[in-house]
Amino acid sequence: MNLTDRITSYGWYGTELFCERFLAGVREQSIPSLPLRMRCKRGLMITMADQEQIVVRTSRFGDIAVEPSEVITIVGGLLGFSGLNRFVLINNPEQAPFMWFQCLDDGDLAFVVVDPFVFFPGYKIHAKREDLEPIGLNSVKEATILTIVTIPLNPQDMTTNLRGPLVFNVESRLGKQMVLIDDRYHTKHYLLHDIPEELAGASRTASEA
Amino acid sequence: MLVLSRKLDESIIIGDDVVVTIVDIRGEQVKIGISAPKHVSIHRKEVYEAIQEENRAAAAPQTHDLQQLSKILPALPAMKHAKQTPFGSKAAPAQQAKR
Repeated sequence: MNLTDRITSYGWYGTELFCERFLAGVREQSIPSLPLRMRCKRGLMITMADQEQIVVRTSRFGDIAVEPSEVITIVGGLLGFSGLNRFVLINNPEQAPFMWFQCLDDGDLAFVVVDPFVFFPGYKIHAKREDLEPIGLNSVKEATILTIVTIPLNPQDMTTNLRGPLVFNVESRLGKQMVLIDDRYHTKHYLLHDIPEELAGASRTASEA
Repeated sequence: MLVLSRKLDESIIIGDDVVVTIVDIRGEQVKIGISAPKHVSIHRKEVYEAIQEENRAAAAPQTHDLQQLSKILPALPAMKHAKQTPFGSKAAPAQQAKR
């Protein structure tokens, strides 16, 4: 559905020329993203047919407009940040493997996250079914896992939290922060050095031993 | 803090739904059984607090140039998997929402 199809109504407020140009921009889709309602002093009020975009003022990215289909809900919130449940994952390929996990309920809150298996192919999560039930998964094999990165003054010493991974159900866009029982994993694992062998290696099969 | 004394196999009920039972006592270690509704999470306190603290440290307000950071990484064989965008995530928001 293109932008013009989504417009259900509009009213003219002022300068016809402005409005005409605005509508032309919408038709050409040169206006990248529209809020649900837009009003300007001499212009147009446009009501969009589909769901509201969510507009959030963030301290790192300025104002961002997020489609409801992009919102990830963290059931129960992150530990220490309960009540802040809606997030969006910002992924710029030039920054890979790092991504921003931006909170939509608090624009100042964002975390750097990574796919932990990029650094630790041997990382294994054991989760009981009841732990995964709140996000609608049966086993951890179905989950997408990301871990939060802490970046100190010296970036060479950056660490990630393998004891409290973020576990996601991609289809339902639900996630939670799990607290692992496995005490091999800690809240601070260096990403760039001192990686224990069992985390570095892929799991060894019997035939390789 | 409410302090109660219990013997082996005795229980405490918290609210209407949470029951704490002394399951075993061996020397200095006490085994505690907890039954609670599924939506109530139960964790060892020190682990919970460690994760909470780490979340707070990671959420520190300074912003990072992730592109610069990605340059200091060594060659990572598993990186090719990272290039796949996990669950259709949003590209870096270049556009400003119009007011």
